[in-house]
Amino acid sequence: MAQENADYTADVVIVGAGVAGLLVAWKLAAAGVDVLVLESGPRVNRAEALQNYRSAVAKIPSSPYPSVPYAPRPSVIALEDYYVQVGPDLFKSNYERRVGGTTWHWLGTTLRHLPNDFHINTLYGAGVDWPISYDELEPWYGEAEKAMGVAGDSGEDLGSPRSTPFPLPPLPLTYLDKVLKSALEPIGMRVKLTPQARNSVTYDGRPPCCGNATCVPICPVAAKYDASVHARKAEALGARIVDKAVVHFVEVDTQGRVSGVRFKRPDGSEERATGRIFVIAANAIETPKILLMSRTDALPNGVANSSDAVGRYLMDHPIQLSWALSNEPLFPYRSPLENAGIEQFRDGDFRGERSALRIAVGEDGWSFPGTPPTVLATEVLGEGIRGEALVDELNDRASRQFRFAALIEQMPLAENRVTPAWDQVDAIGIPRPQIDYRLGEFTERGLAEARRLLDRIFDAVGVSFRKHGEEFFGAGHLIGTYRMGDDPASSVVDPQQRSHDHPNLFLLGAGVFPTSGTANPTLTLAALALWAAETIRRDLQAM
Amino acid sequence: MADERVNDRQVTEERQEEATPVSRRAFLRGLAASAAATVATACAPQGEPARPLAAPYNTATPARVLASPQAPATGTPEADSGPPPAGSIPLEQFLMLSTVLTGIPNLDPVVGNVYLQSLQASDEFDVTLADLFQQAGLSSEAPPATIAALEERGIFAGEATKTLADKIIEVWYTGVYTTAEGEPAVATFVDALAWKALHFTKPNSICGSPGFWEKRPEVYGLRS
Repeated sequence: MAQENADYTADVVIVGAGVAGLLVAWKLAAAGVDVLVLESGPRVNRAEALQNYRSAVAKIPSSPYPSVPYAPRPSVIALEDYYVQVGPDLFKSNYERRVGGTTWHWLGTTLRHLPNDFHINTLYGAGVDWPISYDELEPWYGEAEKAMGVAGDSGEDLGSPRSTPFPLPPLPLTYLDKVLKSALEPIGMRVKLTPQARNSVTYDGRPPCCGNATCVPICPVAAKYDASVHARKAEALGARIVDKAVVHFVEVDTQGRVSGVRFKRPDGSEERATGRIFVIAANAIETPKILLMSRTDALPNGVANSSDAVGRYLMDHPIQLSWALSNEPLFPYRSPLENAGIEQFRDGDFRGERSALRIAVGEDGWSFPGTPPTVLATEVLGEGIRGEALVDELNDRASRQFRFAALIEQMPLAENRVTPAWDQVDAIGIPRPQIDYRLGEFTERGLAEARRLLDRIFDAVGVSFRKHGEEFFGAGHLIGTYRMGDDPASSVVDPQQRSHDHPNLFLLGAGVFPTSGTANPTLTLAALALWAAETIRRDLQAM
Repeated sequence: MADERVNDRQVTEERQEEATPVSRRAFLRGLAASAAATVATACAPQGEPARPLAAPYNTATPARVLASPQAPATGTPEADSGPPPAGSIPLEQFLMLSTVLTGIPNLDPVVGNVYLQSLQASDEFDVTLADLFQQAGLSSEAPPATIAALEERGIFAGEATKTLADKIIEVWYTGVYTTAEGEPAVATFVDALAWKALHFTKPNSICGSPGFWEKRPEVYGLRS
């Protein structure tokens, strides 16, 4: 049995140093609470990460952040190296295990959910309702936007009413956005600036975006928010962050309270952390895996799992990626990678029959489909074009490349599931995540609708080439494996994100989402985390 | 800091040169100027405001972006104690050949040496670099200076010479070479010619300036 170590005792023990865990650590530390954060992966040095990106042959989201043997992670080009995929579809989204979590490589899009996203069962007879409303969450959205530094146009109606303005002025539309806006207006499609956690002016000690155009996988200048911001802030307020601490077991005492968590070090040695309140915020893959690994005779289904819902209802925003060559130059490769979107398909009566969607405008040429300028050069050269003609051709084609990512809502399906692959373990003996996954009919219909809409868009813009990706892509959005609800029989956490089964255990992150909506999940999970921090502070006072 | 000031002057000069639609000559001058720049001005240190460039196409990238290009273990020709392998050429000749093939002068010799070592170690070509150098007429008293002159000499008519010549162009444009183990590797990303050739932007991971993406680039060098 592991020794109890005073170094690893705190009022609140947080598992996972991603955006949710670190926002809670920051808020609690600011309130004078003794906080310990355990993170499975290492810290990130931005300069090294940038070097890793530049030297990577395949420029993918995880390029700057090499996998480490004690905390391996999935990669979009090796979807079965870490995941044990059961199918029938591949789960295609990945994440980082680092201090700062996946916000190191996230895009930075910070749309709010729509009010109707919280009630799709009542309104449309699909999915389930959330146990909270938009109005209840709205003040916390504002807090999250301030904490992360969201730039947006407060005068633009995005369907999510605001009680406070965006904390930063809007980033400008790109030339490409403006051309699309004009071209699509006649067909009734409205291109709108996307709110983003990316500085438009100096904010919180970070510079404005200068168009490095590498938001995914790394912002070289930290204009894009990442959770290392709140790692620094939490530590400055006294919180302790222990990296390379791989939590694999949650202990529960005879009263049903969590009494400790066990973690492994890279050398395989075992440690234990104790506290009064525990938070697990290790994302929608690793959190359920930890809970399900923590099975005992008393809790044969694992921790927090009397409902048997832990690990179930895994969702993403499967992407229809479509790309084209416009007839006129649009000049991509200069700006945040997605800066505008078409948001009018996010809600409507159709949600009873097929998934809602949003269309993000790509500003990164054909990088996502795999033909950035370096690859394009090889293609053009292969056509026997050399010398000045090669330079001209590269400019001509690269300036006309554009693409869209349609992000499709996914319905919660009980059989879409994360479980520990007990017989397939990583380098320190911890089971890899096993994933059962299928898109489902709603999503398939949503993908088909996206292709239809994107054809209309390409027709209106005028293109000399178009291509719809034949396979869906992952959005990197890990959603829904420890859903919140009022009923302990069908949900894992209550509306305060507290385990129905264990009163001193909170589970944070997009895993609590009962449905995916169409908004990129980070802002919503950040708002929920800030709300939970306030609940935890009150719970501590009441103890 | 002194180096940064020098670099500022270079950037200013480039701006003045490229204030009008860019000509091929100006493009080449710009490439030469930015290859000479030695300090990364584009990306401010974390926590400090970025120092913007006025125009996106003035990349002012560091000459060496990857601190240590992954050179094959054989090292530089100068460092080798034994005689060069049969069919090899010295770096100077490789750069001369590369300049004619790419049309770009003042190519980076450090990155060039990585490509040279990689190509010389490869067994996938039916001609040697020395053969190509010879057939291209680069050892003659009036060596060809353009890709058109190489075409006239039939370099792209024969499969063997075409394959090697195109590979030389490709490594310079992509920044990617093949290691001694046969794996692809990046010698340089931001100095890859595919990025440098784009008149309307700068390489990814290098700052432009806040909001520069809002406008149609004044200088884009597209075929009219």
